[in-house]
Amino acid sequence: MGMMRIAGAVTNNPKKTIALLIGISILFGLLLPRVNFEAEMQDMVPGGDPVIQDLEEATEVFGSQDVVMVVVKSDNVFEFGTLKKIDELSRELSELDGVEGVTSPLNIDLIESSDVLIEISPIVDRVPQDADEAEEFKKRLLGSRMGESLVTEEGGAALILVTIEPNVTGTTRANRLTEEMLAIVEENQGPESIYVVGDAVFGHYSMNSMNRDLLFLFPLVSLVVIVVLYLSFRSVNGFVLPLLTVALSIVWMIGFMGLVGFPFSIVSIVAPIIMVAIGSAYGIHIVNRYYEAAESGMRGKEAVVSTMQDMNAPVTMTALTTAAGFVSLATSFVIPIRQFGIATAFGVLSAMILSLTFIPAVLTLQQIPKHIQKRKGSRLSLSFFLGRSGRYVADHPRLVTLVACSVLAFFLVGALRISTEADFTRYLGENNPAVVGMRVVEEEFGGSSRLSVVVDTGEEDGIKEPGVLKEMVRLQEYLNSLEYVSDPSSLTDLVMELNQVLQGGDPAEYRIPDTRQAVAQELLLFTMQGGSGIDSMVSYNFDKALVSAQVENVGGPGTREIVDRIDRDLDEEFNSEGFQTKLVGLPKVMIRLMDRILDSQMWSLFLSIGVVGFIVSLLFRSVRIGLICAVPLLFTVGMNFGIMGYLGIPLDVATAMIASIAIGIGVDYSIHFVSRYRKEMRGRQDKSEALVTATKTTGRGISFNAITLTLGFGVLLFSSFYFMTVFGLLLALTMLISSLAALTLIPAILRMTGVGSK
Amino acid sequence: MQRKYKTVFFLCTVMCVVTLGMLSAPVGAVSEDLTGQEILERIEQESAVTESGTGVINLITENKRGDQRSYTLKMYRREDEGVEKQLLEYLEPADVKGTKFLSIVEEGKEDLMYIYFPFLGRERRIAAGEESDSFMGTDFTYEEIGSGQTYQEEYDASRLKDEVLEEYPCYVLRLIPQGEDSDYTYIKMWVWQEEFLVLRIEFYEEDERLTKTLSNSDVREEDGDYMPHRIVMADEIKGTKTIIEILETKEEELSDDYFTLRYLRR
Repeated sequence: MGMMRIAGAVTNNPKKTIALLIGISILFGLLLPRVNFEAEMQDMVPGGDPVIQDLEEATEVFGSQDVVMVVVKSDNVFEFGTLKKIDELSRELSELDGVEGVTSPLNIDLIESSDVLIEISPIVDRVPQDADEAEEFKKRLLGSRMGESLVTEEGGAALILVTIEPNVTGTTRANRLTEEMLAIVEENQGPESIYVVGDAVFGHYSMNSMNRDLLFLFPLVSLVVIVVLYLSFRSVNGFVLPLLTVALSIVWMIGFMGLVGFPFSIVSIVAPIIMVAIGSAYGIHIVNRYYEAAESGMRGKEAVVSTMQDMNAPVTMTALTTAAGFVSLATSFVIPIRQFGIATAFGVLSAMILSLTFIPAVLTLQQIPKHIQKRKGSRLSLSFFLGRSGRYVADHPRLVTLVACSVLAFFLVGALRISTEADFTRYLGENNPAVVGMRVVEEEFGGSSRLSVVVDTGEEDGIKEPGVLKEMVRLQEYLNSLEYVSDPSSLTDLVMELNQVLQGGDPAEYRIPDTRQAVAQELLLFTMQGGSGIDSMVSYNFDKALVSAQVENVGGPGTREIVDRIDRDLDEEFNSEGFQTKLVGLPKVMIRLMDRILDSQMWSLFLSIGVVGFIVSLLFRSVRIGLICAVPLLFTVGMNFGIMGYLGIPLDVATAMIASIAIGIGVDYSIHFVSRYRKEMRGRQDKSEALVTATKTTGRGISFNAITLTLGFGVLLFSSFYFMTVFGLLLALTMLISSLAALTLIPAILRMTGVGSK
Repeated sequence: MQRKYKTVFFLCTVMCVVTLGMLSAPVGAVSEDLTGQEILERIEQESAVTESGTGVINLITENKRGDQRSYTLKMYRREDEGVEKQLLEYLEPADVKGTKFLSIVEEGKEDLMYIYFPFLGRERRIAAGEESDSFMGTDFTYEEIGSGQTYQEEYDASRLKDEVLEEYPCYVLRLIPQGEDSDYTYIKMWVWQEEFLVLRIEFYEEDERLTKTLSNSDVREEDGDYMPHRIVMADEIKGTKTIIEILETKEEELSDDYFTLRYLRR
């Protein structure tokens, strides 16, 4: 057997082996600096999705759709100090690299009637100095449509709009820009409260809390693993060897990432934590078995060879299935998830190779610790408990199966209640500044996200037709009538305002003029006078226009309802020859992305069940064993979804990933168990005895490993980031469930059937 | 902070450019040893402004994506006894046809400027403003296009190595503004040696940053005079362009009738 030859070579040349492995580790170590720590957000999803394309197209035609809002809250924003601060803030913000433009209550242009037709002039030449000037400014501001949308009527809050350059949106530059904006705002904080809101800000806070958490979570997970391992083995070997293996395999994994050009993304940043938890498992099982051999009186090389004889197959199998679970993530729609899956799979295989070579090499060079040679009592309780439990299962397989099935049924009912949407604010929590700011914007100014309707007339200058403009007015009225949607605006507002001003200010003339000539000439006049901003509302050759509105963040299901309803109504009420509409915007992209992501995650879930089942069948050369090992998996996945249903955890990018991972890791327990059971059945007839022995011996490794993983993942509960908390909670629970299932359901099924006994 | 009627000023200036080459005097022998300042003087000499004539141009603005907006304008100009009269009339697109500007500038008097929109059916007097920074719609600023005749006064010129620009042997000048208020740190200019015609200007801001490029091309000869028929101002930062295509120019005596309110309303 190839595996045993390797084990033989390792035990015969332990020093060479160690030297070789360290050499390889140094090579991978040299690749570490090549890993990029900042992933470009725009590379997260593959191109070609129509909804994303629509948004990109709109960005190209109408300019940046990415606006960061800065809200200044105070008792009275019209006071000199606050106005001065707003002015300074907008100046500083506009000087930042990557900012396309800043709109503040103090820098907008007003269209005013004058003896010479219209005048477009800045609302103020300087910050209003006294109460009279402030009063005049307030009047002018509230009298203009644009100004009205930038300040609350009572003067409790003012809004500064920062437009981000399109080529910055969704890149690492956006993150740096957000940092700079937050720093500027921080300096100006107080007595006014200033909030920064926008998609870029959300991204920034997510990334930050994630990185900050990882800095203390990674050592914490390592510590927990060390403590659990030490308590389990009460020997230095017991935790040093598995941890050293993990450390080296993490180096290999990150080196691999540098080699193939995977950056550390918001997803793959958890890979090292996962590696600590699962990579240590192989070492734990090997050391556990080695101590078993030592207890039985074997010495030195003999004990190592015997250990490897037993452990090669299960370690290889479990590593392959775990890797398969991660590799199945390569089918994901989200590129960082793909990279995470592939990198972690590589890490798992590295941990396998190191466990099968490095650990036996070191063990060969060592003396068996004294306390192992004569120990008995310390783990008696666990062995005793496992033995009782194994006996009970072997005696009552039907009852165990029945109980298990009822538990599963209970959780499956819960799984039906699972929701497939996520409110992005939940990831950060209501106390996060980005969420707090968003609530302030919603309270004072309506929504904080932007939805837009692209109107396409299909012909040059088509937008100048009064009929088209009037239809756009109707569209705006429709949008305004919707709940959660506010402040619709478009070119029509400008045209109506121009018309009113040109007709002497008569409010009745706030309307679309009757002829295309009038529209065209009004707009020509506006541009001649230096009027700006048209390009963000209408395409250059006037064939398309944009109607934009603000929408509140009402959580996933609410946003979906709004998007679906507008899509439907546009189709039924507005689309006609020469007036084709299309809804675009980040909220719509988010919803469609979520659908695509969940679809692809479900695919990778089924794929991983299939691949893992296949590998197990192949390794045991038995389809029936493959099926039996799959039972705890179904159990685990079913309970995972059930828990999510009962706890109200929605199925989203993070949680959908867990099922695939849990399958790859969870099947390990079954493999270890079945493998030991088959060994025990060799030369024996009594199934019950074989099951009890398997439970008592392998059960110990399984328990240690499950406790390590459960506590290790459980550490993630201390994260302040919802995403991590849920990720940790569910992984910890699935580890607990799949180990319990492996120690109860598998023996019960094996007892009831003849599988694995020949 | 006046932003008034930038386009009107711009168009008037364009008209000057368009009518610039019309009356240029025959050029003497090319001297090899001209200084930069002498070359600027020669440019000014060659570009005597025509007294009276008409021109038709396409004024095209192009955004970053290459989308274009195009207007066709007819220009009328007459200058006598210190009174400069200009009329601009939109010919195309059809929905703005008939929009006109009239300006009468007389030394020592207030400038008269009128604008007429057909849909309003009446002209309005508009106030003159002074403006030197950029305006919407085109990529020119008054400084860039307006200083055609005043380079000599406002810049210190030094010569760089001669170059050949698309078959035209050129003097290459480096112009450094004398005043503090210029938008640019320096300007690089290519001047066709034979006719002292400016073929290309590059405008540089701090840190050697090229911000704008003016290219004069499609140079055609008419009665011994040479004139570019395509003028492109490219904003190298924003990626936008303003293109002026000269469709026709005619030197002719124009009746005073063109420069009246009656004609404006026609």
